Amino acid sequence: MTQVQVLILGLLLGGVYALMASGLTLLFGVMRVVNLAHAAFIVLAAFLSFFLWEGAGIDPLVSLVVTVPVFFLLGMAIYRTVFPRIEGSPRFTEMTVLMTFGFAFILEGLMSKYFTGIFRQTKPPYAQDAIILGDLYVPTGQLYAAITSAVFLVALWAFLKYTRTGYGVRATMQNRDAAQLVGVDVRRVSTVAFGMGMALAGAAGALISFVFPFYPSRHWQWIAILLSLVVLGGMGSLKGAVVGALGLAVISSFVSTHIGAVWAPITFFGALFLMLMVKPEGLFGKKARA
Amino acid sequence: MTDIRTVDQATAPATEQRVPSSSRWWVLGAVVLFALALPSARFLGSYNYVLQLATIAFMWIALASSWNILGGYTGYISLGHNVFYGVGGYVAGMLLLELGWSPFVTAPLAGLVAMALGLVAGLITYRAHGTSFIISTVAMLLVVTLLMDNWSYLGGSNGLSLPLPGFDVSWLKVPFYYAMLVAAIGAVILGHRVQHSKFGLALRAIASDEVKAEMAGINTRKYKVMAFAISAFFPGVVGALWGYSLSYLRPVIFLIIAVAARMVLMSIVGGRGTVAGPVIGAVLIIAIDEASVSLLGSSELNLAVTGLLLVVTLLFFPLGIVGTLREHNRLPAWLDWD
Amino acid sequence: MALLEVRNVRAGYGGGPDILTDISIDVEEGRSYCIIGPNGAGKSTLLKTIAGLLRPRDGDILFDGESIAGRRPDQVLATGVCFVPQDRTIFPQMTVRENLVMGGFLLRDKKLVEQRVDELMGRFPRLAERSSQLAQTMSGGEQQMLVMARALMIQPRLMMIDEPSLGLAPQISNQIFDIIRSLSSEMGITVLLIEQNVKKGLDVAEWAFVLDLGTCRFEGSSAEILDDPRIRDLYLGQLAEAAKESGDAE
Repeated sequence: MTQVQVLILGLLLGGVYALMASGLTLLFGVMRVVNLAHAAFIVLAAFLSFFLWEGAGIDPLVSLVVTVPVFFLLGMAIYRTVFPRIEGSPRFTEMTVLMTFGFAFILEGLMSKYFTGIFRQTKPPYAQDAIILGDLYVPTGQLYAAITSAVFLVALWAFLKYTRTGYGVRATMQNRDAAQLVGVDVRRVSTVAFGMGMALAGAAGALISFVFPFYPSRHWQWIAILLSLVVLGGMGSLKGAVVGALGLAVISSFVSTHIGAVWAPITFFGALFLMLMVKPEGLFGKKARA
Repeated sequence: MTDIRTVDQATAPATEQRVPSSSRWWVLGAVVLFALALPSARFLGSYNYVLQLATIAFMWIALASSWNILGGYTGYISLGHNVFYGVGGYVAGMLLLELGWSPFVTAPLAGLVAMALGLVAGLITYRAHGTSFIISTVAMLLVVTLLMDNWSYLGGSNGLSLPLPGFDVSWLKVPFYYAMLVAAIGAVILGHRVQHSKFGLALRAIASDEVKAEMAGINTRKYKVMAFAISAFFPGVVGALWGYSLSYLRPVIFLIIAVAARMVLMSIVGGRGTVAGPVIGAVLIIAIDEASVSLLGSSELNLAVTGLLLVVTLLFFPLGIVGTLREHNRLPAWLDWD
Repeated sequence: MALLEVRNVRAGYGGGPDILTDISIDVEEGRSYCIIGPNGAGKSTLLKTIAGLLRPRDGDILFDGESIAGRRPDQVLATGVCFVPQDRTIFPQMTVRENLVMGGFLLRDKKLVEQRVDELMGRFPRLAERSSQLAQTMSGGEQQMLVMARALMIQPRLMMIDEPSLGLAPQISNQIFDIIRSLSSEMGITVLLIEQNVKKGLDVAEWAFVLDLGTCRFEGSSAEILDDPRIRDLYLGQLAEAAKESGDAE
């Protein structure tokens, strides 16, 4: 396999990871919530796409139309019901870690029980195909996933930069107190942002469904990678999450090819440990305390 | 407005010495005596079941109490603490396979190896705070899992069989019972010692406000690394014993994150940062587990129950049983082990 | 009727003790006031409570005759009360211009926002120079100027400022104080200021409230307060003692 090939595969993978990580980092940036259940929600969304595929023959890319709004609403509902209780706590972020840790188990337990641990994957025709460009073999499944991912990320960026609510979200991410003082309704912004974070998970789930085989307990491996990415890029920095995802995915692609596929996840963790020793706040992070 | 006074209070020796109420010692003494005598009650209907359950409870008491040193006293939440459990199991198992040494003898050694790993882990992560720290503990767990799964010398993900201990089958469980009991008592005493030492005071200063602790002159790095190491000892010990009692080593027994979750849950439900908390939490969770297995049967829903318990506790009783009772001044003396 | 009336307010943080025990002040429109008092007297807490960052446990707060106690900060802002807190609450990764635009968040009319930004740039040439610079790269004094200019975007009727000169060199803080003086003298904005440096604070503002132990001990014109020997006692803690002993003969 040529190096360019490895690079391409890495970038495509990175695109998907970037989408997965973006929701996570948005949640932290706006509300200081660390959602350890993020990947479990992604798996849940993947199951949703899978059942739509199996039951109604709906293409996973089309199922986005269902998963995204459903998870958006789910996200807002969860935020409204659960978080106001712990909002004022002194150790808020730590509480969110533990609580979402609990959620992850609830989700995994329920999914394992009712959907079983069989490996699932949606198999739309493009997931088996590839585009051949000279020497390069570009799997169309991953290509479409990466493109869709890019579309969502661009939409997110545009929303943040050009809409009024987006402005409010950005302001809240940069300085929650200042945002409050200029008249941003931080409670409403947080609810919308949580919904958006979950919506991104919903989108990622639909893509995952044909890119990777999945099963309920797979989420732990993903969340660890995603969290590593987010910490690496700087918690709360969307730019950091994207850069981290692309960069690390490429490196892990090389590791996978030259050392062994099994060791690919170690890339992310190794990079994490390295970053923690050298620059704990991440590439683009601020020195603020979590 | 930096408040120098609170920093001093955090580092001053504890002036409030609670007079140990005599009822507390009576109850504790009675419990320990009972535990020591239990294995002789062979007439009990479900003898083996009871012994096994108690053995497991002792093991979890040791695990939760150890987690509490890092997660409760120091305030650093480790979601991958079972690495030490797994390392202990494998160290003792390999020593048994290669050199024939009984894990009953090598368990403390396994504990020391786990401690060394804890030291390393502390050194890698001492600059991480709050969330980054938690994430790195998860990463640590997954890295070790990956290594174990792929290291053929250790049997990879299929694991290794261990020779059975050479006791008579009819009282096979008894030595493990006593060994775990000793480990449990040891872990609780360790927790108590940490609580009442200058070391423990420093840990609590770090937990309440690390920046102020640093400014007060506490070498936070040293104490955090030490706490990590100390909290790894007993998990290593009980890991060694547990592997032997199963006669089988597989990464998935020790290293799935659900194990870490239970350690966390037990300490939190019982009461973080207290001596009795993890003990109460362990006993309670084991009991709930048994109940839910008999009611719900399968083990997958068990996961959901674990998660639900954690969420509910955090929302409504964040201080845990011991903590909440103490806050309302309703803590019975026999639960106040601090 | 005073512009702002605080009536017997009691407030504190989280589940903690009352910081404001029973405080009542009247703020007349168009005047500038300085709040002084020892550490822990409740000065910042008072402003935060008025701004809506804290909910009063008792008592009421009236702005223009309407009760605003317990309202959210963005609602309080909409009535024309803005708050400039102690830490320079800039948006670090936005430019100076973007920060000002954010100040006009409540204004729906984009043109109006642009217009006001330009006006403020004119008033604060220092900011105009740094228009496309990231806010986090500016000096403390410039950030303080930015925060105050941002607050002016909605043309507030009452501006509350918490220790504007904190951490600033004397020369810069003098500039800031000049700006604050012009707020009330030129722009007719009512100013409520907290300043640790008593002499400076009473120099900038016309009137003063003296706070201690969560209540307003006394008030008066700056000139009166400055000469009052009780101020010295207050800062040395003797006033509280004397009051206790003589049964609060004030």
